[in-house]
Amino acid sequence: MESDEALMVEIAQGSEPAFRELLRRYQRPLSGYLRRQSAGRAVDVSEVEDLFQEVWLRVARSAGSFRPSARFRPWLYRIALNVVRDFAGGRSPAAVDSRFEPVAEPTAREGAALEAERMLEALAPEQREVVMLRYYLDLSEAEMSEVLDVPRGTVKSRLHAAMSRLSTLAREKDAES
Amino acid sequence: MTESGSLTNHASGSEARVEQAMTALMRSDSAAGDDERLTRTTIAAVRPWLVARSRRAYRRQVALAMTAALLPLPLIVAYDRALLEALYVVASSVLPGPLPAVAVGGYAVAAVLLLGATYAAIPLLVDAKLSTGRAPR
Repeated sequence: MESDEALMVEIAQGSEPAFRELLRRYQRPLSGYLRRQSAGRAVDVSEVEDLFQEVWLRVARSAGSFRPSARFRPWLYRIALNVVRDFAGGRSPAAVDSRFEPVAEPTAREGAALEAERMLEALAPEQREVVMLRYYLDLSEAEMSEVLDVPRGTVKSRLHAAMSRLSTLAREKDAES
Repeated sequence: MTESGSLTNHASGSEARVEQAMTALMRSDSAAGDDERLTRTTIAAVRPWLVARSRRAYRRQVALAMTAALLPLPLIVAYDRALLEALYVVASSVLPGPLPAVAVGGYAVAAVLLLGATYAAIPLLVDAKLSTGRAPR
């Protein structure tokens, strides 16, 4: 299987099959990441799809400047983060799209997903970013540092702050129930 | 998560909880959404860029190949000219009347056509090479 970086070299030459392959590899995590990162800003499904397309347009446009020695994954998510930030810059936080709310009693899996949504909503944007990158996209600290363009120490401290916040919330929830 | 745990236990406990919740979130996100339609619309949006990149790459490759092929052309022409002159001298001593000029002229025309065809094939060869690189996986 060709590496993501090798596919990027082909995309720089205009290869559509290489682009399709890269899209297939990252479609689900990226669309989920965009949806979750932009949650709370009245984003509907079509807007998330617009963000998704914008990310891939930027990938195609910047393919020529992508260095094969660089790692593709952090590069892609950095673009995604910038797209979300650009988009969020013009938006104020609002109610989450009702289409993502359950209409019936949630199953155990839906319940866990709902808990994750609530966790993310309770975090500050920069804490949400690190939690998403670490636990949703499974990025290493080094990769997170590249995505966020901050030192690893900052990544660690943000992650620590986010986990402390989540820990507090979990304790509060346990105390309530 | 229990309140009696140490700070470390709290941290690792909440980490495990976050991991579980995120896995569930990822699964729930994977189950939702129309991947096929999103792929189609995204590729349709990106295709003009890919086509433009492909054309640019083709032109660059052709220019490079032509430059490399044209560099030795003066030498080839000089060599052919010397060869034709030598052939004409030899043919003149063997063949009568206008036959040496016809034979050497015919050879010269064939050489020019061959050279022209070689240079004309360069863009086609570059296109074939790029197309192989773009073959569907």
